[in-house]
Amino acid sequence: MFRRYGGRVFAYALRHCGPAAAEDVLADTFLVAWRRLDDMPAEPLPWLLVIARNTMANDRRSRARRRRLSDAIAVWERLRPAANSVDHEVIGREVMLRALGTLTELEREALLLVAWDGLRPPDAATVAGCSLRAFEVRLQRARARLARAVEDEPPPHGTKITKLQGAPS
Amino acid sequence: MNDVLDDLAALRPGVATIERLWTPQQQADTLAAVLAHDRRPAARDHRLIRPPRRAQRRRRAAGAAIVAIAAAVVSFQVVLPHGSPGGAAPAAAAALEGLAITAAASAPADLAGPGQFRHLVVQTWQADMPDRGVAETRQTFESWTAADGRSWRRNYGQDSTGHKIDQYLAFPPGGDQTFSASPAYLASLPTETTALRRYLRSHASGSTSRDEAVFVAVGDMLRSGIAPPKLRAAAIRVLERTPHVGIGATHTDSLGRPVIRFDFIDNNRRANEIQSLLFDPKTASLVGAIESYASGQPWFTSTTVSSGVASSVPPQVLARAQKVN
Repeated sequence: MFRRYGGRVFAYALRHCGPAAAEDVLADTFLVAWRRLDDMPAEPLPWLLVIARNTMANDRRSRARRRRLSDAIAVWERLRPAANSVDHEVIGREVMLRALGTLTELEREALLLVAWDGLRPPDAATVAGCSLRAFEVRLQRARARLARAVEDEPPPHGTKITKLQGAPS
Repeated sequence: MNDVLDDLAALRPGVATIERLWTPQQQADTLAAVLAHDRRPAARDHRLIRPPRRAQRRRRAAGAAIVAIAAAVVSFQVVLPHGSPGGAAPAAAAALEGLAITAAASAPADLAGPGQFRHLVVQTWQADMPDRGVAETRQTFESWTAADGRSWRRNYGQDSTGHKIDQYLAFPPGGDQTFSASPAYLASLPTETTALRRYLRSHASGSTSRDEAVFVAVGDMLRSGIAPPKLRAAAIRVLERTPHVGIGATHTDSLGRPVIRFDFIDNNRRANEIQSLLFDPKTASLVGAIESYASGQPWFTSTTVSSGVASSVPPQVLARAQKVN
């Protein structure tokens, strides 16, 4: 379970705090999961993310770190792929970065739970702590706002934006 | 998914990206740290596995269960002498013992009785950290905590975006966690140093380093000022037996008042970071905390400006406070 889901939980935690704190959150998450293996559902990722979220919400240190590191753009910067990316990927990424930065924290989280964590809306709603209906509305609004923001973003140095190709390493 | 979600999904960090920030060696260390913990279920686990919406209501600790767990671990206790390689540095251990004696002997005159409120004014400062997208922040937290743990708080100052804030909040009693402890939970904790140390080492969370988790947990337990004298003394003595704890270089707080400062420095776990707790030498009360770089340059301070007992909560606070679950 640790090897299969550790990276996903770490990436989720990293969106909310720095690498050192994310490692702590991850360790706490798997410690609780280990103690509660009998409660683990067949699809454990949403369950693990709920534990991670609750751990961050309840942990004073994490809260303090999250306040200091809450800038989603900074987190995104940390997750950028290595420098061997082709130009159009870099450009598209910069545009997406700025566009994502225009959204609210809840909207960003809704998008990333689906697009990055690969959760279905019912599971994502559970992790986000809201009803499925509320989550779907939030996701729809976030998607529309992100699309608009991407369109409004001027490409760097007047370069034409090319659709992104493939996932980074 | 439509195009924009496809584009976003294409930017999902892959294994190699994650491993740049969390190396396979770190992963192995983290797993080893998890497996080294006590596997017996902790009271907080039940709350943590529940979805957030249903987890808003805090559960009270079963005090008897905590005492039973503490008693059980005492039978396997290994007593570390203070000042040993397994404890604080000798000078720090001696200073901590002096504080513990002061704390144990203090009358609980500063604890709120029925109809009274523990009144604290705490100022915090967060340095400007442009590399992390955070602006300088100064806030004041004025709180009134009743004997049953309910509290009212006014937060004012400016947030990290530079906007002025002035919030009034009402909190229910804390729970079974050190960072937000209810008086009932604190009263249920062991006041014998070794038992408390073993309890904290197996239950304190927030760090893969048990030493750091214990250091932070002790600070959290003492910060609110509602811990009884015997528990304060035991918590201070736990620090005597915590590695990486030393005497700090400065002897005054941000207001220039004399303090005894204890630093937690673990370069393996927190490179370039010092966490400090500041105690009033006369009362053994925790009066501040500092987080700083290894150079000594602070980036976060928390200072208790005043503390005492109030007979009431100001009417405007009661009237404006929004309830927090």
